[in-house]
Amino acid sequence: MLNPIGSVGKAELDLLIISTVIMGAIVVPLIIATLYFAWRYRASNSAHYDPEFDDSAIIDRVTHFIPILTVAVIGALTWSYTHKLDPYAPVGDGQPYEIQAISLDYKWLFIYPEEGFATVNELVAPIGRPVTLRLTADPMMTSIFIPGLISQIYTMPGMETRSNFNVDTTAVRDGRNAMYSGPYFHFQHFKTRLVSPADFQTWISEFSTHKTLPEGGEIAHEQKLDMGRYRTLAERNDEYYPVTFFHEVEPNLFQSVVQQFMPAYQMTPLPTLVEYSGSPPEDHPEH
Amino acid sequence: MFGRLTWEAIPTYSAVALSGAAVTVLGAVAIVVILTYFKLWKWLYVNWLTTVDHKKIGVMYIILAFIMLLRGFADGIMMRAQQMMAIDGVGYLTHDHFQQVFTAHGTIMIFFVATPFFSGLANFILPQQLGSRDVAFPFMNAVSFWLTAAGAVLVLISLAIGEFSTAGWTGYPPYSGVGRSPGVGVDYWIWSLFISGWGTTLTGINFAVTITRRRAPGMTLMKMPIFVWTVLCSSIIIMFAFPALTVDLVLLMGDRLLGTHFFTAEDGGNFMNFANIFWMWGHPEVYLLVLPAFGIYSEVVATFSGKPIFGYKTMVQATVIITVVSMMVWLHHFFTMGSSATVNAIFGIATMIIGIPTGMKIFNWLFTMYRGKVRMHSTMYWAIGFMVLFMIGGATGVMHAIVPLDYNLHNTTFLVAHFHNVLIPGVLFGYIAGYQYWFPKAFGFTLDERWGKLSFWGWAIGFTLVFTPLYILGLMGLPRRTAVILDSGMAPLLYVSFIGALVVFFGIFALGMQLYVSIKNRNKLRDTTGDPWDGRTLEWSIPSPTPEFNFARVPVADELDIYANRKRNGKSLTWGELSDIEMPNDTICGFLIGAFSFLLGFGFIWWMWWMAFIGFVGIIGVIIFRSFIDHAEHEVSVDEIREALGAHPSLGEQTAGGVA
Amino acid sequence: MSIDSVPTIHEDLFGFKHNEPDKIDIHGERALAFWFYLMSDAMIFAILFANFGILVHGTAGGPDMSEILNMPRVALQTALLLLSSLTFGLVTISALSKNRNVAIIWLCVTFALGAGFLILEIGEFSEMVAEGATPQVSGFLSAFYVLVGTHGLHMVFGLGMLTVMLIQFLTKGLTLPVLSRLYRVGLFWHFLDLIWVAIFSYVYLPGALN
Repeated sequence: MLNPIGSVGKAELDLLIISTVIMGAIVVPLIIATLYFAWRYRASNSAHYDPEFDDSAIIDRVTHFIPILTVAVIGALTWSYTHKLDPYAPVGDGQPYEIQAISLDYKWLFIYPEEGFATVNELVAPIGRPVTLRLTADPMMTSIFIPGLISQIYTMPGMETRSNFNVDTTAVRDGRNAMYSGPYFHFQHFKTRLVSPADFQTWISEFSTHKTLPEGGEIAHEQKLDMGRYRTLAERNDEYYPVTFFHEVEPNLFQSVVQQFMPAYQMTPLPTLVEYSGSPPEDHPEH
Repeated sequence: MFGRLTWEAIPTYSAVALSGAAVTVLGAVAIVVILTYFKLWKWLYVNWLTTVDHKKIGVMYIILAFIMLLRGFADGIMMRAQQMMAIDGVGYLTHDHFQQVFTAHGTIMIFFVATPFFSGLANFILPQQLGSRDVAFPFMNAVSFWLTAAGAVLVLISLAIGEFSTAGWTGYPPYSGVGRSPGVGVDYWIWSLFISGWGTTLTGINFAVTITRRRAPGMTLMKMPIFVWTVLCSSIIIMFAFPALTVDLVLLMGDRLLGTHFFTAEDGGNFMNFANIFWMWGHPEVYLLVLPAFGIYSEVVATFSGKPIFGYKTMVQATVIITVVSMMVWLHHFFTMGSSATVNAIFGIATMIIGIPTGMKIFNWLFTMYRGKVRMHSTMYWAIGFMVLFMIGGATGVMHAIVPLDYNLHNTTFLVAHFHNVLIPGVLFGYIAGYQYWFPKAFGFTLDERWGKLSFWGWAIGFTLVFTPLYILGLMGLPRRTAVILDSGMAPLLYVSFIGALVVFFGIFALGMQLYVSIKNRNKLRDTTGDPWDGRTLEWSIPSPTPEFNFARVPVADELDIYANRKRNGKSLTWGELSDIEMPNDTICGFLIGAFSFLLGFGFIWWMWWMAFIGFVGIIGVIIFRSFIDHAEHEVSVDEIREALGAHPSLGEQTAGGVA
Repeated sequence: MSIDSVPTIHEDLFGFKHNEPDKIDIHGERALAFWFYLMSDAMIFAILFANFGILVHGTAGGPDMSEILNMPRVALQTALLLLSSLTFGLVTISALSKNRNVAIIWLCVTFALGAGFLILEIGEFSEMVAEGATPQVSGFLSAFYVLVGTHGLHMVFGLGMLTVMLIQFLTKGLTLPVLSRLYRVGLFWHFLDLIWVAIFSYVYLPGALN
């Protein structure tokens, strides 16, 4: 959060600074006043003592006004930023690039429907265009979090949530499940590589052939991810699951995973920013 | 016969867990041995197990809270040690054990430290501030306490028999469902909360009736002390919020025991509904804890500043506003669920609105000190420490209410630091202040000053050292509840945090030393006037320790801070007639209901249905038996009253003394 | 200001006069506490209603409301329960006019009506279970059973209270504590009636309209 990339992360850091300054402007003088009053009016000091002073219209008005004003300002900020930084809203113009993420025990499966391949514990996304993550989970509810890139949103079995980003510089970031979902949930982390569109294609071809990661560490290669392989992949592991590359993915795997829990679920095409209406997808929790 | 209870229930999976079990068992054995050796069983039975005296029940609540505080703190420091030792490693706890520890820590601190501490202080002082002789329903009061104690015993027993929940103190499904948590842990969690929750609900009803019907003559609503107002609001919150917890637990129990589909992911269930219902209880819960603490600060700051509370009306309005708004903000516990921006923004702004009345309260405490004569008593240390540290907690709370920030701070240690920042300086400091402030009313002597101040510094400095690093780590993105730290750059801050926990331990040790030293020096610290702090409200007009019947003659309380005003004007309080007093009889029925509900819970947890059946029939049987007793009171004669009070002015036969 | 000029409560909720200012009106307090309890209980039902509203479409391929509905039986249940509220009113009136025997008769009639309601409900549940519509089938059925069943469980407790009242009428007579208890049992009974009206309108009626 303190070292953001992308417009969303930067706006959130701005918001953090603005709110810290506003709250500090209220709280710091009050702390000083508390300590000063306690010292100034200590019993051993002969400061003015007025045992009947228990109300004052002026002080009352001031002490009502300050909190109300503060909350009004921060409330207005909250309203506008909450809408501006709605995680469902695509960031930037054009058709978003779609990546489907499934939170498993305790690993992340990323499916690239356009290319028809999938990775485990490694997320690669192109820069310079909007990217949408479609999120679900099986079977535990978790919370995806890539500090500095995307803020948290729950991934839930039988439901789809989304997160959007759009960055213009290449970077490597750590992502994880931030929500406790079992004893080994801290192993549910992954590297996020943000690469240029040209590199994206190179990266795919390299990654599909290479055996090691840039920082070291093996890449496992497997041919096809169908429902049968998915079932074994989804089984619980109690250590970090190695980065795996699946060269081929069964079409609509994401939809089938959600449908295990909610048979009526249908995938909708991702909206562009222009089309986005400001409400979460249909299968929002209150179904 | 024994359901699923086998020898395997003994926690042999780790040495740490086994020693925890040993401490629990040895503690229980030690208590039995001491009671037998000193032939104290009869004393225990007559004075404590059967009592319906609100003051003794209050004291038992507070003892329970302190015992559980030790257990909860042990869990806390174990967590800090684990995270410090498990940087790129495994630490000294197994993952499963670490999860039990953080679940037990949260559950114990909220349900068996903060809540009983509130019930204890309110029980003890509420009737005395109202000018009443007891709460409205003394027997029900005893039932409430024994239900709470039964829940606490279930939590403690889980240490030795079986395991505790690993689902976190919030117990979210689907993790807490039977598929992922098939063991007895979640059932222990459910039943200890369920049973103690009923106790708290009855307490809420009891206090609400007491405040509406048992005020001294002349005490209209706007002449009640602030503490009474806050207890009234807390009682209202209890009555509205606790049913939500009860329902949530029962439905989860149904999912686990009967295979229903309330909170399952499949077959039409909806697990986020659990979170909704849980926080419909959970958010008001924290306000029901903090409001009485606000009440205590108001009493303490006014007394030790030698002034009435500044802006009494504003204080009352603020309390009532917090009560109402606290019920409308629960969704802020899961902004990241994926609701629409508008829903999130509305709940975020509603949350901030609570900051307005809270801010006004802070200003009012500040201006109570203004033009006062502030005595720097150790009790006042806690109040000033609260004001300074709580403001930071309030500020970070507002930051959490800013929805896009919460997206980043949720589930991180920033959140952990925030709620400890409101619960420790906010709630716990207040309750400890109340404990020190009213201690002479219970035992007739004041507490040692030096150790009191040392304890404050231990808590205040320790708290700051523990949680400032957690704020920073949260901003760096460290998730909460993680048994292993994967980023070695976080090590220094985690070390600082652990050292802070040691300093807090010193604060707890100092609290114990304070009690020990004070008991040793009790003759020197004896409070002979009944008014050691130059108090303002009715409880200080009667002797310390408070006699069984509180008020020999009922006082007329037709102005605010009446006792202080009369002292200042050199006048005495107006007292009612002196006559025989009717006091409720002691009964073992309350203890029995607690014991039977323990059997009910334990039977359900281990599938020993015969035991659960005995428990259930026992509870109903005792209630029906009680309903056939019409006269459960005895008379305290005028002579006995005279003897108990001696020459104290509250006997009303001479002018009130004690003018400072 | 002397204590005599302070107004005290002279008449409690049940109409009993108290003119002793220093005596605490314990029966009025108990009545108030019972109202508070009912408020908490109403919250329990409110949450169960909300739960039902959320899960009503989660039938998971199992039956929905219109398939498990037997309108004549529900109508009969409603009639029995409404009638029992009336007869409980008659218990109260006869008890207040110190007519113990008449009160006992109406109490028995109330008990019979309540028991009839419960028998019909047990019949409904066992038929549903026989047809395979158990609470384990779907979120909707779980929510249905828990809402209607919680009301049924309250009815069981209500019948227990009626039995206790009957025994106390016989052994103690119409003393003040017994009458005060009768007032609270009455509150409980009418409250259950009210909840049933809500269940009828919110659970059964929409099923009939589909």
